[in-house]
Amino acid sequence: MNSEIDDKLHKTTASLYLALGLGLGVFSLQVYLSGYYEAILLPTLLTPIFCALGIWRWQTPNQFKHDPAAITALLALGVFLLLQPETSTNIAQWHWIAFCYPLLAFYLLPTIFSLVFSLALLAGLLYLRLYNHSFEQLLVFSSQFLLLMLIACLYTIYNQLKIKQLEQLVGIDKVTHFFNGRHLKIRLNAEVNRARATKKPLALLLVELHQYPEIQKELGQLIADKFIREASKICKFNCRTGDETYRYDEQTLLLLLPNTTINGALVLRSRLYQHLLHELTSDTGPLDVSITPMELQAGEKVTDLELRIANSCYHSLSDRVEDNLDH
Amino acid sequence: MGLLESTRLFIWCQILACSFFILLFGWHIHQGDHLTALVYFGGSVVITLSFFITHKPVKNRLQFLSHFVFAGYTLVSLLLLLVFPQKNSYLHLSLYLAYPLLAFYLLPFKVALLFVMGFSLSANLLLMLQLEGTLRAVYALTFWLVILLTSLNRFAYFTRQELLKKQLNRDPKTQLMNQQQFLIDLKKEQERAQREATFLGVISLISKDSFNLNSVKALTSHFAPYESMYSVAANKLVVLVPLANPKDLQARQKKLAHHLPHLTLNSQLAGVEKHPVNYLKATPDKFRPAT
Repeated sequence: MNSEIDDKLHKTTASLYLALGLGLGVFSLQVYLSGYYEAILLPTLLTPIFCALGIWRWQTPNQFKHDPAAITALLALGVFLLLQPETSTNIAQWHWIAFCYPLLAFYLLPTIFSLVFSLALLAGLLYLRLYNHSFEQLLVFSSQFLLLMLIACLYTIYNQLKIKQLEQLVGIDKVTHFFNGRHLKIRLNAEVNRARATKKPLALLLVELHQYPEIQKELGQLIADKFIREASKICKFNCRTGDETYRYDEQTLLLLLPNTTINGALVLRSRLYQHLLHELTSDTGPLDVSITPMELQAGEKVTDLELRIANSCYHSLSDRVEDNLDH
Repeated sequence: MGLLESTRLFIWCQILACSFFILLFGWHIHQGDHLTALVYFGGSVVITLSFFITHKPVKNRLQFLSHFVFAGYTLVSLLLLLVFPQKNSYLHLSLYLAYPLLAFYLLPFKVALLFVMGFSLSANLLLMLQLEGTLRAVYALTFWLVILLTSLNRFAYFTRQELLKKQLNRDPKTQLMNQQQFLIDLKKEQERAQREATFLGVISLISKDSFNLNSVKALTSHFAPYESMYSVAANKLVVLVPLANPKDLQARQKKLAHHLPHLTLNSQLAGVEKHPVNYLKATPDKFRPAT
């Protein structure tokens, strides 16, 4: 469902780029028909850029923190608003249209970059477009622009804050529908205490999917999500009543096995390994998965167990070895 | 950016936006343009009220006041368009562009949408009547572009928030697991009790007042870490207690009643034949939904 929303979002953004491209195309035609040939260069040049951005975003969702398509679009729009020649006395108000810029910037790129772009545009407008205005007019214009920018920033942060607050309370991973790492901390504490109180064993299995980062890098987030979702379904299917499933980190799933000895965990491990080998396919070659069984040691504290789990992950171990070699 | 940094940045943005509103209010008073000054004053009041709504626990009256002030802000903005349509048009335009953002920021999604639609229609009608030529086209196009952008953007966030609320397994007020998670865990614990040949007790704690974070923290010391506590209503908590012997439940309830005299306690043994909703019955009047 989340991916559906993301899909709709990137298609909406793509439509926006296409609408801007279309608008610039119509504008260049109008300029051509009116005979203002000196003003035709920028809209004609930017129309295919926006159309290309629109098609790109329609085909593939953004995978970066700072969307390169949004940065390109904002740069192009900034150049247009600053350098487009004035063609008639009535429409020579590009600094008016520039009021929309911070709003568009925060919509396309809700990061600190949009603030930088907006401030750069304001400086450009004051230097290139409004140099013949009086100081008072410049002051009022700047205040208006900054007020709009701040409201756009406020609005964006407010929405992101709400989402973050809710995400903090959600204990379920949105891709696998397993409990997340935050929930594991609480449950691990409860299960260790329960094992102590009932004098029953507690085991766990760490399932590491080593190809996940490669798939994510080469085939994109959607395929990587599908891969780990399939793996989680197989894990869930092999779990017994009372076992709990967690997404420990990006590429690791964790099965918490109450009232299970290390031998019981080893039996489940071999069964799960066979199922994963036969049922899970990877687009980047033969499946590379490791399943590490662990058991709660006598007298072991929760923090020690947490540390042991973290140290047992092969991918974090290889990262640590690389770090040590670098040093 | 973490939650704390975002909150700090948010507060700074609120303060700065309010300062700019006040600055422009002062400027227009100095210029003798009282109507425009009134709009900016309204904006500053609205931002100040929203600041208190976000950071104070008592919200209802403030929220009502904020809605009232925002309605006033809307009316004065429209009046400004009616009285001085072409005077400093670009300054007015900035006010109208800020309108949908303020509306979606301050009001709940559906109410904000109604406000924005009403304002857009009235403003557009006035623009059509009072402006001319390309100026009218530029004005109307810019305005609609911003309305469309903001509405789409807010809708996207709204859908995300609703989805997250559905996924919530904790009660925001007490930070305990919610009713939805209780029903899942109850089934799981019943199956586990059967497998391990043990018993499962369900103890409900009912208070005259609503539970909050502090009262819950005080309560958790009376339970073992593996005895999961759930918030199923504003004044009702339920605890799942794994038991070796069914008789332990009565002893446990007595002990709890001794330590927690201000709470009404109920306990029962969970059985597979019982419907999970039975444990939530006799939920007091202050019902809080699972999300």
